[in-house]
Amino acid sequence: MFRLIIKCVMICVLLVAIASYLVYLRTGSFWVPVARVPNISLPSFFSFSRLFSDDTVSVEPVGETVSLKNINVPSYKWQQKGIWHYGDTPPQGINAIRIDGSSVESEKQ
Amino acid sequence: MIRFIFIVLLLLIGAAAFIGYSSQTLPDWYAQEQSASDQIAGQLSAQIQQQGSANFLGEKFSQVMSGELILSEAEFNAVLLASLQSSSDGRKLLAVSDAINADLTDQGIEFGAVIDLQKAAQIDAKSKKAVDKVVDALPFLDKSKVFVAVQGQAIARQGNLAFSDNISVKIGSIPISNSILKQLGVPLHKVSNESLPIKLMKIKSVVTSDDQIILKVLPRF
Repeated sequence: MFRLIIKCVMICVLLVAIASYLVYLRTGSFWVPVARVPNISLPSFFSFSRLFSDDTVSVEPVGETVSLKNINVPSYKWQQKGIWHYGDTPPQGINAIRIDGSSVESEKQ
Repeated sequence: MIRFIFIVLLLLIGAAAFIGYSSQTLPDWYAQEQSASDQIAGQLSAQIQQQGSANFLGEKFSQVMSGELILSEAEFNAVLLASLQSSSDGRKLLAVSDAINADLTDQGIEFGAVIDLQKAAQIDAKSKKAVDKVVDALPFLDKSKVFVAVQGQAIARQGNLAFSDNISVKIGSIPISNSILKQLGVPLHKVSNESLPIKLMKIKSVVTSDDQIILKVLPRF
C-alpha cells in the first residue's frame, strides 16, 4: 500500500514538472497566469456608488491596422479540367469551395 | 521503487535526447559548402543547358503571355529566390538563412529555410530577444542552425503567392500539426495573411503536383 502511494506521488510530481515546463514554453514563466488583473483598488472598483451609477465605459475603437490584420481573406478551390486550382478569385460561373481551414467549407458560384 | 524511478528517468532522458537530436536535424538538400542561390543556380543551369537557352526563355515567355506558366521545382525555386530578393521581408529572411528550398508535393509546398540563429540574433535587439526566447524554450539547441519549414497548400491571394491557413510547421525533423499550432496559440492568421509578390507576374490560381507547379498568371511588367 505504502509503495503504491509513493508511486502515485512520484507520478504526480512528474506530471506537475512536465506541465510546468509546457506552461513555461507557452508563457515564459513557471506559473499559470490565472487572470491578468489590472492594478486597481478593488474596494473602490466594487463600491456601492460605482456599481449603481449610470456611467457607461467608453471603448477605444479598433485601429485600422489591427482590424485589417485580423481579417482572413477567403480562399477558394475549384476544379477545371479535373485539376484543382487554388486562389482567392475563382472564375465566373465555376463552383468554388471556400477553404478557411480543414473543416469550414461553403460554396461560391 | 528505485527501479521504477530509474526507468522513468531513462524514458525522460531518452525523450529529451530524441527531441534534441530531431530538432537539430538538417534537411538532405542542405549542403553547407554551397549557398542557397548557388545550389538553385546549379540546378537551373543544368536544365537550361539540356534544353538550350533560347528555347528555354522562349517557352517561358510564351507561357507567361498565354497565361499559364509551368515551372519545375528548380525553376520555381529560382523564381521564388528572385522574388524574395525583391521584397523587404524576403531580404530579411535571406539575410538570416543559410539555405532556402521549396519542395513541391501533391499536398502543396514545403517551404523550408535553414536559419542561422547567430545571424538572426545580430539583426536587431528585437530579433536577439526572439532568438533568446527560442533558445530558452529549447535549451538543447546548440545556438547554431535550425531547419524551419512551413507546409501547406499554396494559393493565389491578391495576385501574390500565399499559403492557405491550414499550414503545418516542421522544426528540424519534428512535425508540428495545424491543430497543435492552434493549441499553442500560434497566430496562424498572420502566416496566412502574408503573401509574396512574384516578379513580373500577377497570380490568379495555383495548381501543385509532385514535380511541377502550374501558375495561372497575368503578366505584370
